[in-house]
Amino acid sequence: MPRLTRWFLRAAMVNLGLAFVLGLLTVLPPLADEAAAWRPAYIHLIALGWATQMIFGVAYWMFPRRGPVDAQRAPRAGWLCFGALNLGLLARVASEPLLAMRPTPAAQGLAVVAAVLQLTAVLAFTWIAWPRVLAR
Amino acid sequence: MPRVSVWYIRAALVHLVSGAFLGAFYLTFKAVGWPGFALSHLPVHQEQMLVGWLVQLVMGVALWILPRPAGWEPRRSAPALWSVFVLLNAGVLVAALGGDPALPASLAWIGRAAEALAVVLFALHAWNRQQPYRARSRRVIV
Repeated sequence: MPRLTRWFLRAAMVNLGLAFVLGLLTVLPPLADEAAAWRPAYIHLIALGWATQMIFGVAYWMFPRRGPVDAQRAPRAGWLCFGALNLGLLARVASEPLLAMRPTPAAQGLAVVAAVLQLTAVLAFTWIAWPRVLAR
Repeated sequence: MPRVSVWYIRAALVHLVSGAFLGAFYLTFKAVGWPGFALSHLPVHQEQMLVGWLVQLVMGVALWILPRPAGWEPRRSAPALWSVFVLLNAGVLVAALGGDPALPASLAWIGRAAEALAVVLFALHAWNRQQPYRARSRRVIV
């Protein structure tokens, strides 16, 4: 299993854990009063941080390689994808609830950064995966 | 990787990229009120990410990786699997459009019905492709 895959899978498990902690906290006071503001962060921790990141890691490992071309370009784009996905998710969790509760210029800026980072992660993964999806 | 899996997985990647663009636009819209995004696109983002990306990718990989029982003829399954592909992708687009208040609400249930039919056909195909080791006698239904 490539080192990048191990990082993807471990980060996915961390995100799943964080999602469940957040899910628990938002049914308890004091966050329960503002549960709706935390809901998008909770959903994205599971759908993007857990499920999609797990898929990225396994696909990076298991999709067929065409040879040296994929071996060469995959690591850089792969690490870019990993970094952008997790930093973007972190920025999103930190900023998105604030947009709903107490919007500040810092939260607004951080949310835009989160949007750009998450989009970058998806584009980097697609760039790696697309040529590796091959008919036999 | 079988050709049908290639189509499923590449279509899933298209939904992922499209859904990610819509999601990024929506988050930007929430943050700074960027006018390039209409709220009516949120159901498109949700449908593409959940069904178009996650469900379709899992189906495509399953068709590639699940064991092929003895006597299984891929040609017999092909029409059903291509029907699943068409129904699922048409269903995602139609159901997503159904979330737009300017369009008829009936689109939502037509799209969901297409998705449900796709899932039933897929399950019928995949049901007997799960086997214990050394048991290769069961027959694939479609």
